[in-house]
Amino acid sequence: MWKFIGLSNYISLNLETDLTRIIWNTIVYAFVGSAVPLVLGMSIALLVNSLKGLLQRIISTILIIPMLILPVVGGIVWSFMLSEHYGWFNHFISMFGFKPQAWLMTPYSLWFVILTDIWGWTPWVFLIIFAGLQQLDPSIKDAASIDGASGFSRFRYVIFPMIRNLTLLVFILKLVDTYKAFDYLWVMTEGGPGTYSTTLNIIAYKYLTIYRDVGMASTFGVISMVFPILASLTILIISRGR
Amino acid sequence: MNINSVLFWMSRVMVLLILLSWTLIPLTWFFMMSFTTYGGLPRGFELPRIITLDSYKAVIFGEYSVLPGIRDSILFASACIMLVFLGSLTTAYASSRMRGRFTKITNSFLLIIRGVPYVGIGIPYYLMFKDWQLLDTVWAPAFALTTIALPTAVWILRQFIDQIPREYEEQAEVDGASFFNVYFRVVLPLMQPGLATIFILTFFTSYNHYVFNLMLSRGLFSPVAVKVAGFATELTVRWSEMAAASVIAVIPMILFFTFFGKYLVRGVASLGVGVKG
Repeated sequence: MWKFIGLSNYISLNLETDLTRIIWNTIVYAFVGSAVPLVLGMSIALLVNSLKGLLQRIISTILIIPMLILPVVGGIVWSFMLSEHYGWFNHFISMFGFKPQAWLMTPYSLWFVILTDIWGWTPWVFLIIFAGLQQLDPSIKDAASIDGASGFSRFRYVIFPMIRNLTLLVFILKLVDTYKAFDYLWVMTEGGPGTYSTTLNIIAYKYLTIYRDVGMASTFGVISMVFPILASLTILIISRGR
Repeated sequence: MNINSVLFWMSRVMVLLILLSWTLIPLTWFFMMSFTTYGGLPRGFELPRIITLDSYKAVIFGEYSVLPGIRDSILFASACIMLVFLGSLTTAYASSRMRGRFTKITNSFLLIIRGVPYVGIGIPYYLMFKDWQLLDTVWAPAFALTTIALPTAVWILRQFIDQIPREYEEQAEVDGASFFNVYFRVVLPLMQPGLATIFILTFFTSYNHYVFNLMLSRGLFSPVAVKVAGFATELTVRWSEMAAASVIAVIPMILFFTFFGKYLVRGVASLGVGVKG
């Protein structure tokens, strides 16, 4: 039932004219979708950490709700909020005189999916970094402020070095996860319009389910392995240099 | 209080308000939606025109009942947690303590596996489980998800074991403990924060998991993610039922987090501060 066809799947990749865009989309999604939540999540964690008592508990609980909701639902909700006639987003921008559009049907659809991804996964980064910050001894911070360190330099030279490894760990896990993100993309746009929001993971799934071509799907699977392998090799080389 | 500190205080309140609304606006919308019907969908900033509990009735007792989905999700999460624990407890210990020529390479290989796209894992598993007639059982998606969750668990657990001083084990060996005694009596109790962490993280990944349940099931085994996504069909989206179903589906997650959240904080704390990366 299986026939060996050599490299012809890889050769027929030439026919996939949008391959460059798909790879570019994957990389943009992975980096923007992991760097923004990292910075945002860390800032939120620092801000919430400076609050006190009950207020801190309430706010931190509210902020992690998007993580607990099904990603599928988050995607559907956002796609409704971005829809042309019903969506709050369009009502909001039309107050400033912009024209309402079905944003997920425009070439910018990828950015709106990334926005949703940031909404959904910043809480994860926040939760872990906040947990790390909670354990820091407050007297260290107090000592730094008595020595006259300002807010930013206190963060840069006192707090950050202590949570640096945790941050690195969160960033690596987030980068790998975002690289193969599927739920939001599939629910919100299915990669469309055209290939404007298609990533390698989506095109592979499309070949499997819509075009029923296991060979091509696996080919895209193999191609998307290249980036994780390169990343791991980089980590290996860096850690060997130490 | 001088003007600077007032400004600082006000800007902090502003930022917090923006953050809370950014988080809450989609959720509010969605909560509102669960109390209306298709005809009562609000346009823009309106309130729903019809308010009813019909959709809750439909998703609890009626034809769209989401309760079997929640049962399947919990079953799926338990299976994943079991498989991840079986695999990671010993692997992480080996990966932390054994030093060989290829240790570094195998350790970084763990992350490559996490980076494999879902389809790359799903296709072989689909063909295999079809032959073994395991499709539509909890094991097909659970094994597939374990392929991704296990390396991460090993990687995280290794960071915990790296922190346990080797002297403890050497001391136990000097006192005449066998290898398994050292592992079960000395190392395992010290790994507890790590075990709690991977327990919680695995639950988070598996309870809401979508792709493998979509690929490796033909509809008989359908956790909440698949069930809820099923409300959005090609022709129409059953908004109110979908919203009500997911409000109910999030309850186990919230309960879980209320009970186990503090262990995650402890686990992360012993992991985060001052460890080698």
